[in-house]
Amino acid sequence: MSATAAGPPPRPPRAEPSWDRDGSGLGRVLADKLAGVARGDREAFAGLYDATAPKLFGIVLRIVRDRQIAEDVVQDAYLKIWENASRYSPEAGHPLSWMISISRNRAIDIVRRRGEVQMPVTDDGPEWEATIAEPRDREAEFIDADRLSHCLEGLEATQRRCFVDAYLEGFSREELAERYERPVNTIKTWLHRSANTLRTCLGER
Amino acid sequence: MTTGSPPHPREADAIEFVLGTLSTAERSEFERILEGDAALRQVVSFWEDQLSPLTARVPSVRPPERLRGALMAALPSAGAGLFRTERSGGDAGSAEIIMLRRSRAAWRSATAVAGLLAASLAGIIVLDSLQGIRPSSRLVAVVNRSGELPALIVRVDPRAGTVQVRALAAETPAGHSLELWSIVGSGAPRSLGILAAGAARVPVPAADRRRLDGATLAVTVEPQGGSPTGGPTGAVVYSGKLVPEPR
Repeated sequence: MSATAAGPPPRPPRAEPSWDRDGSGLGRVLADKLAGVARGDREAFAGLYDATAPKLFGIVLRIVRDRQIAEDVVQDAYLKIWENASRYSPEAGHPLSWMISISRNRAIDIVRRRGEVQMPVTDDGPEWEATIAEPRDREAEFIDADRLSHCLEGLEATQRRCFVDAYLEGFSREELAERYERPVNTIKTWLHRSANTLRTCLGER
Repeated sequence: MTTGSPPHPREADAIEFVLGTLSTAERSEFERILEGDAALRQVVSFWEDQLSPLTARVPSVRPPERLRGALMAALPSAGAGLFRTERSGGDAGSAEIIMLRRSRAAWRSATAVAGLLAASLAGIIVLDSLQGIRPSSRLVAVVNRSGELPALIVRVDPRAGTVQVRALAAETPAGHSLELWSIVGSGAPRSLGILAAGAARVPVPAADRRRLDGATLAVTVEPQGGSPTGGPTGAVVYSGKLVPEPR
C-alpha cells in the first residue's frame, strides 16, 4: 500500500486549454504522471488517481447506473491504465481523453452485456442519481469543448440530442429507438449522419 | 485525421463503437478487426479524443475512499508470484476486499488450449454463514484479463451469507469446466464448486467456512464436471485473496 493515502482529498481535474501547449495545465501534469506510471511509479499512479477518479467515476456511474458496478468498472479501468500507461501516445490526444476512453469502454461493455444476457441489476436502483454533486463541473471542461460545441450546433436538434445521449448515457440503438420513437434503422442513420457532419466540421481548423 | 481525407470504409462502425451503440457481438467483431487495422485505430482515437469533451457535461462524483485503497493494493508488486499476496495494513479496517490476482502466464497457457467461449457463466455459491469475516460490509473483486473485459466479479455479502461469482467474460475451454478453490495457508486447495452456467448453489465444506477470511481463491480449468482428483489439475486462470482494506 502506498504511503500517500493520507493526502488531500481528490480534486476534479482542472481545465486545460490545449493540453500539449505550454501552461499550467492538467494535460501536462497527467501526461507526466502517466509517464511515471509507465515506469511502475506507484506514487505517480496514486496522484493520477486522485486527479481523475471523481471524473471517471462520474462518467461511469452515468452509464452503468449502479454504484457497486461503477466501482468495479473504475477499479478495473485504473488497473488497465496501470498496465497500459506505456502505450499512451500524446499524439493520440489528451491523456484524460485516453483514460476516459478506457473507462467508457469498460462501462459500455458491461451495460451492453447486461442488456443482452439479462444480468441482474443489483440493489442501488435510482439511488445513483442522488449522489451526483454539482450540476455542472466546469473545471473539467477541455478548451476543445468549444470547438465540439460549435460543430454540434451544426446538427439537427433531435439528432444532436440522440448522438449525445448515446455517448453520455451509454444507450443502445434499441434504447435510443424507444426513447426517440423512431425505428432502429433511423437511429443508425442519424448517428452516422451526425458523425459525418461532425467529422467535416472538426477537421476544419 | 486531416480535412478532406476520405472516410475509412469502417468509419460508421468506428463511430458506433466509440459511441457505444454496437451490440456485444458487433463490439467483439469490431475489436477483432481493430487489432489488425492501424488506420482504423487512428479513426477510433480521433473520435475518442474529439468526443471526450462531452464528458464535461457529466458531474464528477467522488468514489468511496475504499476504492483507492483497494486499487493500490491490487497493483501487482514486482515479482509477484501466482499465489503471492500481501496482507497490507492488517488493522481492523471496516471493509474487506477480495483481491483476485490474475495470473497472466497461466491464463495464456489456458487460452492456448481453449476453444472459445461460454460467455454467460454465472455461479452463485450460497454459504450458511461466513464466520470469521467481519459482517460490516460487502466484499467485491473484479477479475480481469489483460486488455480485455473484466472476467469475473466476485461479491461476498456477509450479512446475506452469500458469495456470488458473476462471470462476465470468462472463457471456458470447450469440454472443460472452471472450478473455484480456496487455499488456506499452505494447505491443500479445497473445491468451492464449479462456475457453471446458470445459478448454482454449491455447499462450501464446513471446515472451510470459518477460514475464508484470508484464504486464497483460485480458479482453474478442469475437465468437464470438475477435477477428477479432488485437487486442482489444470491451469490456474485467476487467483487472489481476501484482504482487509488498508486504511
